Amino acid sequence: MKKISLLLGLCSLASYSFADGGSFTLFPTQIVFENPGKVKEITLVNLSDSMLNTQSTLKTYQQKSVNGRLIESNALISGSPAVIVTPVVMQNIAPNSKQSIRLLAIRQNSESEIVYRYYVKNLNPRSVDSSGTQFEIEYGMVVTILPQHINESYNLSYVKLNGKPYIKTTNTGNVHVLLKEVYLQSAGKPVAIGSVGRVLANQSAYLAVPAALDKSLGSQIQLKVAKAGLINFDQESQVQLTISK
Amino acid sequence: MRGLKISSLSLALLAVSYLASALSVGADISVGYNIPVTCALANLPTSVNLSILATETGLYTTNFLINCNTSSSIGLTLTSANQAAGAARLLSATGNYLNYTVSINNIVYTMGQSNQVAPNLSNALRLDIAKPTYAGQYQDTLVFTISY
Repeated sequence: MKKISLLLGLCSLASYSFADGGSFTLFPTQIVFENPGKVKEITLVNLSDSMLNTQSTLKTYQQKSVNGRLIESNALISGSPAVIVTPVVMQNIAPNSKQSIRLLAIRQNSESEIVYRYYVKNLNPRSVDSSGTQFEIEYGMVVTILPQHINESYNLSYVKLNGKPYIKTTNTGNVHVLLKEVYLQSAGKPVAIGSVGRVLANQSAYLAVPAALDKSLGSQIQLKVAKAGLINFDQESQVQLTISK
Repeated sequence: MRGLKISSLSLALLAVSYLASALSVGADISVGYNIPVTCALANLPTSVNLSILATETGLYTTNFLINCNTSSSIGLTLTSANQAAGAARLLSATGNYLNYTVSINNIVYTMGQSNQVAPNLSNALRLDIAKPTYAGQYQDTLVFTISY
């Protein structure tokens, strides 16, 4: 009897099923409202071979600095959201079929940007008392309502913290910037030092400059920054500038 | 005819040169706004049924792949429904947890902390679940959040 119990236990332990985990996709992946009263549409496509159920959540996009890196610390929206999403819950989306999600911006600030992170998560059916570790996939896209008066500006500088060199990015504007790769020109060649990512207004991010690379730099540092567009985030451009060491 | 051949070759070389310059650093790169960024998770189990037997210890490991078709890296955060630190809860008792360790391309990172997955590459994800000696059935929901 003990042997049977042990066998059943081992079978239970090994009984995990492999599947596509409710695979789905969403597009476009950035939503930017220039004015309130506009409706934007997101298309969700069920890529799995089974019915899909999803739930969406809107959170306030926030950042905090941890060891020089900006970490998202998104929070539940206090008060009424500036964007209305319909539907919130989507049920029984058939394989390979699409579902439209509509977002309506209802207000806008004069001088500051409203930034949300919009999450869509697949919901797998499970009973309350079922055991095991369940996996879910969630997508998070940025939803922005631009201010009436846009000031897009940021500053890059060379700083030392605890004796170590960094490139500091400070967003001095009132809309967030998305700085992708940062390159330093060394011996005439660009060397990538990393990705800054999104920097909200009044936030600063730091990118470490490798010590060996730092030694090869002169007093004037030439930078190249791959920057995403404000309205169309998928349009990348390269910005070149020189800063003093 | 020869002129046409040379002309075609020149055009081909020009096209290759243009493509190379577009891919090099310093070029403006444009991709369509409405191109969907799809992240595919391969070999992702829908659930791992961990029923720990008495006195059992060790490690349960599951490996899977994530591949996002995007020109730049994408954030990936793994969170647990039970605790911010990430641990599966024993169904029949409180205070007993299974602890997770997560790594992407062999780099271990903390649950709940955003990490980057490389563009257009299959990034190897590994999830280790430490088995304690507490017998029983454990429950949790792990959420993979892919942030654009």
